[in-house]
Amino acid sequence: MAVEQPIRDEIPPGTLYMLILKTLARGGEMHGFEIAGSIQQISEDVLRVEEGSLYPALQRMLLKGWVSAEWGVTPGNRRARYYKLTRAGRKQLEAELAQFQRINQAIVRVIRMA
Amino acid sequence: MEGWLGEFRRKLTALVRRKQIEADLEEEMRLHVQFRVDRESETNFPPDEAKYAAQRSFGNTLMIKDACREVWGWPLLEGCWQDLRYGLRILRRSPVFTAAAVITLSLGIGANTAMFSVIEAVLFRPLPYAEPERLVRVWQNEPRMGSGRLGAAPPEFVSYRDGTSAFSSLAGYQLRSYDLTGDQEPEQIRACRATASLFAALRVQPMIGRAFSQGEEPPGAARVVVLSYRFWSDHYAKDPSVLGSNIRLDEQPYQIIGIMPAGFIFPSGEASPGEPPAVWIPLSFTRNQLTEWASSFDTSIVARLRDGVSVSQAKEDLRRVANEFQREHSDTYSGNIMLDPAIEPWEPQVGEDVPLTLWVLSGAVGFVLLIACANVANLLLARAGERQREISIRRALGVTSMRLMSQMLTETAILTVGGGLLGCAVAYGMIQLTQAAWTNEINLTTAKIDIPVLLFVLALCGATALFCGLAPGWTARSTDLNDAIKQSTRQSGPSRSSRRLVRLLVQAEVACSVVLLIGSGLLLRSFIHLIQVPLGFNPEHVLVIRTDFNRQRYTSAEGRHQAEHEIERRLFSLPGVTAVAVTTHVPLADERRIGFVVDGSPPDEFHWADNALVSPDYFRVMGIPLLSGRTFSPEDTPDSPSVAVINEYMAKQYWPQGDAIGKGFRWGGRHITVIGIAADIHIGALDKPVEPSIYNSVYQVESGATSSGVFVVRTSLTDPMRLSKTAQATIWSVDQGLPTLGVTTLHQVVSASLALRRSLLELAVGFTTLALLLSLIGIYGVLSYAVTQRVQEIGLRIALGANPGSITLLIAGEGLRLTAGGIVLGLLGGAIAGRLIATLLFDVRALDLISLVGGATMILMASFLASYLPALRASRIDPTVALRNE
Repeated sequence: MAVEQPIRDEIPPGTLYMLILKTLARGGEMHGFEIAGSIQQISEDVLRVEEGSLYPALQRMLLKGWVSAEWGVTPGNRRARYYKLTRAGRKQLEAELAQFQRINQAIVRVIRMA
Repeated sequence: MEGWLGEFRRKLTALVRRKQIEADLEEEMRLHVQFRVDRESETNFPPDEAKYAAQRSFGNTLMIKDACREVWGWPLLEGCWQDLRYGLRILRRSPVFTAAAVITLSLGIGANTAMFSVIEAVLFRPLPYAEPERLVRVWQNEPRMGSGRLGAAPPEFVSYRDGTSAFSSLAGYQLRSYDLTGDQEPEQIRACRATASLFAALRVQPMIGRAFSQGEEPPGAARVVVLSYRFWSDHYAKDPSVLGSNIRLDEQPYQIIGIMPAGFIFPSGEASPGEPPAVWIPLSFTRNQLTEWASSFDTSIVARLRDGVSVSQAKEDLRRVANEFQREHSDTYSGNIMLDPAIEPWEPQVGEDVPLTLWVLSGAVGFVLLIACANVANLLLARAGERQREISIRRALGVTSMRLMSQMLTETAILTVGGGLLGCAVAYGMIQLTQAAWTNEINLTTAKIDIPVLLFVLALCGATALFCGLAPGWTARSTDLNDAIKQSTRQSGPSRSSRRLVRLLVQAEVACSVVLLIGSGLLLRSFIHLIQVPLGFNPEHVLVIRTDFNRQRYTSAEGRHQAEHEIERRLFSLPGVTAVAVTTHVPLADERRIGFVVDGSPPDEFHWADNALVSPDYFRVMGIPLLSGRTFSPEDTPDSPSVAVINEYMAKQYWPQGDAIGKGFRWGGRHITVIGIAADIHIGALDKPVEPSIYNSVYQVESGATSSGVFVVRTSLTDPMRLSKTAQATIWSVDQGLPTLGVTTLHQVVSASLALRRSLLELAVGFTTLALLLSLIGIYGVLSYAVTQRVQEIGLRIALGANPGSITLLIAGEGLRLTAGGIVLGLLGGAIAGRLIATLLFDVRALDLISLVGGATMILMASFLASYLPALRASRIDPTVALRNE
C-alpha cells in the first residue's frame, strides 16, 4: 500500500508565533513535542513545524516574555519542559490574531474581485 | 516586565546563565527525539531504525543550537569580542611587526600627550573663581609715549573705582616683597597688597576666618593679614588656632584674620612664573599718594563686570572716567602724558611669547605623530598585501566587507591602544624631564596627566586607529577574489590602489619632515643671531648678589648709603675681586622706566628712559665702556647738583648735534646734568631694541621705588660662584639681617633671559630629529618592501644584461621619486610655517632661503641614505635564484 504523502505546505512566514501561542492558549501547558504535534494534527497534516524552526521560535518567545517554561513530568513519567502562556503572551496573541484577520480579509477581498 | 526593557533584562540574565540555558535546550531536544522514537516505533519502524529516522527528521542539532544561541546573543558585542581575540592572536604571531608599530605609535602619542598636558596646564586650566569669564583686567597705556601696559596711579585707581558703574566690584592690587621676621628664620616673602574689594570681585572667601574689609584699608587702621593655604601649612602646620596671632612683616605686626582655601593664589595662575603670594594684606594709599596723578603706575586692577554689561561698554565707562580726571588735572595730563584705559578678559600673566611657543611645539609634535601614523599605515598596508589570500578566502566564505574592515580596524585599535598606554608612560617621562625648563617665563611644574589629558589620549588613539586602519581596510575591499587566490604567496602583492596609497603616505611623511626641518632651521638661525647680539657689557666672571634694604630697617637714606659703602669696601677687599659696584637693577633681569623732560622742551613733553641707580664703579664692573665724560665720584652727594650718565642712544636721540655732556633734563622734580655717556647695552631682552638709559648715582638720588640692592662683583676667578659663600658672609658682617636672595653669575643672568628661546629650539630640533628618523625608516621600509616585491622583475633585468649599477640607480631613483613630491609640498608648508612663527624669529626672514634649501637638502640626503641598503640589495640579486622561485 502506497503511503499517501499528505500535501504539506510551509508555514507562512510570521505566523509561527501566532500558531504556537494559540496552541498554548488552547492547550494550557505543553511541551515542545506536544506543541508541534498539536499544530500538525489540528491542521490535518497540512502544517508541519520543523524542529529547526520550533525551538528557535520557542527561545525567542521566552526572550520576549510571551511564554514561560518549567521542567515537569509527562503522564508517561518522562521528563519534559512545559511551556505556558504569559499575560504578555496573551496580549501578543490577540494582536497577532487581529493583524492576521485584517490581512486575510484584505487578501480575500482582492481575490474575490473578479 | 514588559517590552524591550524586559527583553533587555532577560538577555542580561541569560548572559550569566548561558551554560544553564544551553544545557536545558540540549536536554529538551534529546527528549524530543525520544518522543519521536517512541512515536515512530509505534507506527512504522523497528526501534533502532526508528531512532535513526527520528534523529534524521529532527534535523541538525548543531544548527538549531546555533540559531537559539543567536536569539540570546549580543551580536554586536560578540562580533567585537571575536575581532579582539582574533586580532590579538594575529598580532602575537608577528611580534616584530607588533613591537615596531606599538613603539612608533607610542613615541608619537607620548610626545603629543606631553605637549597637551603642558598646554592644558598653561592655557586651558579654568580659573578657580566663580564665573571667571566676567573677570577683566584693566590697565592703562600712554599712546603718545608708547609705554606698553601701565597700572594705575593711586588717585587714578580711586577714580576708576568710585566713578565707573560698569563693574560690580573693582579691586586694585600690587605685589611686593616683605621681610618676614619673628621666631623663625627671617625670610623674604611675596605679599599681595589688595583692596578689600578683591574678595568680592573674585567671589572667594577665606576658608577659615574672614577677609579684610574696606574699613581696614586706610593707613592708620589696624594691620591685618590673610594667609595663603601653602603659607599656613608650611609655617603653622595647618593649625587653625593661629587666627588672632601676629606675624611681623617689615618689622610691623600684622594680625592673622583669615586663611584662604588651597588653590587660591591670586594673582598668579598655576603656570605663571615666579612665586604665588604667600599672604594678602590691605592696600592702602597715604594722603600724599592720593595726590600723585600720572606717576607710580603701580596698581594693577582686576574687576568683575556687572551683569549684562559688555566689555566694550565697560571700556567706554573707563574712558569716560579717565577723560574726566584728565580734564580736571589738565596741568598734569598734557603733552605726552595722556592716558588711555584698556580692558581685556583676566588671565594670569605668562611670558609674552609663551602661548605661541607652545602652539608651535604642538604643531611640531603633531607632525611627528602624522609621520608615525604614516609609517604604521604603511606597515599595515604591507601586511595587508601579504594577507591577500587569507582575506580573499574569507571573503569567498561569505564574510562581508564590513566585517573585514571592522576586524582590521580592531587590529589597528589594539596596536593604537597599546601605543597609547606606552605613550602615557613616555609622556610622563617627558613631563618629568621638562619640569625644570623655562622657569623665567612659565612654570611647568603643574603639568600633569589628569582627566582632560587622558581624554585627549583616548581621542588621539581613536583618530590614529582610524587613520592607520582605514587604509588597509579600504584596500581589502577592492581585491579581485579570483586573482588573489590564484596567485602564489610571493606574487600576491599590494594592489594598485594600495601602492598608490603607500606613495601618498611617504610623500606626506616627507612633506611633514621638510616643514619641521625648515621651521627648526629658522629657529636655529634666529637663536644664533640672538646670541651674537653684542650685549654691551661683559658678563664673564661677575658675581651677582641680590639683597634688600627694606624701609623699616633702613629708615634713612644715610643709613642705607653707609651700609652700601661698607659692603662695597669689604667685598673689594676679598681675594680675587677686581671691582665692586652696587645697582638697583640688573640688565636682562630687571627693568625700570622713568619719564623725563629734556631741557628746552615743553614741560609736558615726557619721554621714557630705562633707569638704574648705580655706584661709581658700576661701569667698570660691568665692562661698559664710558665713551666720554666721567662716571660718578664721591663729590656727587645728595647735596650737590644731580648728575647722570646716559647711554649713547639717548645722547644721539636728544642731542644729535654736538656733545650731550653738560646738557640737562628734568626728572622726579629735579634738574639733572649729563656728566658722562656710556655705551649702549641691552636692558630688556636681547631681541628688544636699545632704549634711552639714564644712570643715576645710588649715593645721590634717593630710590623711591625700590629697596633692592644688587651687588655686582667682578672677579679674576673663572667661576665666580666660588666666592659666593664668602661674599654672603661679607654682607652679613655688615648687617646680619640683610637677606641675600639669589646669588648667581652675570653669565647665568644672560642665559636665563634666553631660556625660553633655547628651550623652544632644543625641543624643535629634538622633534625634527625624531621626525627625520621616522621618515628615514619609513622610506627604507617602503623601498625594501618594493624590492622584495619586484625580485623577479629585477632578476629578469639582470639576466637580460643590466649591470648592478643601473639597478642601484633604478632603486635610488625610485626613492627619489617618492620624496620629490613630498619635498615640493614640504617647501610650500615650510614657507607658510615660517610666516606663522614670524614673531618668534629674530633677524631672520620668514622666507629664508638658507633654511628652505637646507631643509630640502637634508631630506634628500636622508632619502639617499634610506635607499642605500635596498638599492644595494637589489643590485646583488642573483637572477638564477630570483627567477627560479616562480
